[in-house]
Amino acid sequence: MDPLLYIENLEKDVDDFHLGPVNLTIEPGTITALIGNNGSGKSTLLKLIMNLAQPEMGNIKVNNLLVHGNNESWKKLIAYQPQTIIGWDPFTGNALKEMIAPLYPNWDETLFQKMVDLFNIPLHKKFGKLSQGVQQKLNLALTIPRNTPLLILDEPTSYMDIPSKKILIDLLVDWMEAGDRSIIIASHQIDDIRKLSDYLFVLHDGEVIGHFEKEELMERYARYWISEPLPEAPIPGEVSREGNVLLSENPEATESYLEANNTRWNNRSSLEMDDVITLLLNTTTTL
Amino acid sequence: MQKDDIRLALQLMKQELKVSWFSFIGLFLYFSLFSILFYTGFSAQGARFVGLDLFFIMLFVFGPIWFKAKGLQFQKISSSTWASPTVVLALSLPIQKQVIVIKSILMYLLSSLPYQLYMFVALYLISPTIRDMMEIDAYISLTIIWLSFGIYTGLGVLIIDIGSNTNVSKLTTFLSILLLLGVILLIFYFPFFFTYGVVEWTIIIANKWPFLSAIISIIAAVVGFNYWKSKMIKQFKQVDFL
Repeated sequence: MDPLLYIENLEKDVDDFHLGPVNLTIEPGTITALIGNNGSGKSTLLKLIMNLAQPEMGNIKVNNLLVHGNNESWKKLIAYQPQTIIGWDPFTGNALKEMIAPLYPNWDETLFQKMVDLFNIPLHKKFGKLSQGVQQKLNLALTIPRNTPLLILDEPTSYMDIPSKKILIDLLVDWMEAGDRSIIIASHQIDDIRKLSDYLFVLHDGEVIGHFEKEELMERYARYWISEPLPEAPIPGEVSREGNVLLSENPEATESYLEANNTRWNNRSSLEMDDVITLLLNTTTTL
Repeated sequence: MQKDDIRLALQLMKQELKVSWFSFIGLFLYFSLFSILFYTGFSAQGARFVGLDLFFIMLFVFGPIWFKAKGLQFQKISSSTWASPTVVLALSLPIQKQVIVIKSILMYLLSSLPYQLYMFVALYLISPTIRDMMEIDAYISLTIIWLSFGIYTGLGVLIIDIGSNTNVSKLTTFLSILLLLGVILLIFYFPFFFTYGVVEWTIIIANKWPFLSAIISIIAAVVGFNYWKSKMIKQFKQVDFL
């Protein structure tokens, strides 16, 4: 099956910030979390995908159509929820729906109404008069029902209350059940990433750290409580140590070494998702 | 321009028009005020219009964009980008750039042509000086000259609606300001170099060659319309909406 989104050697300069080179493929039926520190280029990457900025180098293809070419029909395949919403302020929710819904042939009116009810969104008020949280909910209610093959969400839950976040995650899980759909979600919310994502695409200051399968990545790290003093020499796989607590990014190699040296450990645990992300973004951090 | 593009542009305009009713009242009052100003100018100075040229030209070029509804006005959308918020909104939706441009042009024309026409009609009706100065056919020609001018120069202003990045060099900024000042000075000193002012010259031309000047103006408007439309579509590639 052809990838839904294909990014090749993408590079972008914004003042003294450099993004890339980015290579990324999104297959249908997957959720990819876009992760990175503040200013790592997540939103810039999403805007490049939406052709809102011109890259210095590289190609982006949506369903085999070049995004920066003259054929703009790929736009019907993507529903994009930007982090900062521009241009919606003077319009009411009803007006925005009247403007947006007819542009998408698979618009799901039932889902829209369901989201309006669940999030208690006042459609008669001007967007600019709504609180940031309600604006975000309305934005999502006008984005997810577009039912496009690719859904791009940029920090969708940053202003949301906890119950609403849970509702949204459930809605997205249901939305994915329809089949060959994909989501790219840029988020700092660990719950979003843990509950939703299949893949993690990690950026740090514009540089790609990696594209990981979530479960594989989680299994890659382990923390050991060693019962005896640790040797001073570095242990295979060692990322950091604090007292008798050893953190490894290669548990197999670490355990082989410890067993060969008759060093026992009292306990072994996996890392939490936020620990793994912190490690990826800042390898010098001690966990 | 395809039928579907215009249909979609009109569909997008619908919501903008709903929030723009107050601006349309503002435009009506604004053009009424200028009608009185120009009427007074004509009456006080007879056929002469010196000093009002600049206002007249500014009104035809910038008038329609001065009264845009608050949320639709050209604004800073990021640290280095200015654009019309509705353009940014449309860019995130499955709308072709050509349609976004057509919508901007139609909104501009709707905010200019009816009010400019109203001003010309009002001036003719209230000013005996103008009626004495021009026959009806010459006055229609004068109206066409200026409405066309509003199209082939006014649409150029719409480029800023599409967007511009402000991180240009100091030299570019300096040269742009210099150019603007040069144009203003040229308009202001026009009567000293060419005996009559810009508006007076158009009156003379309309009186002398009413049919020809109207035809040339219409052709210029059509050429200008197409030129600016294609320029606006190209402008998208110059701007990063980051």
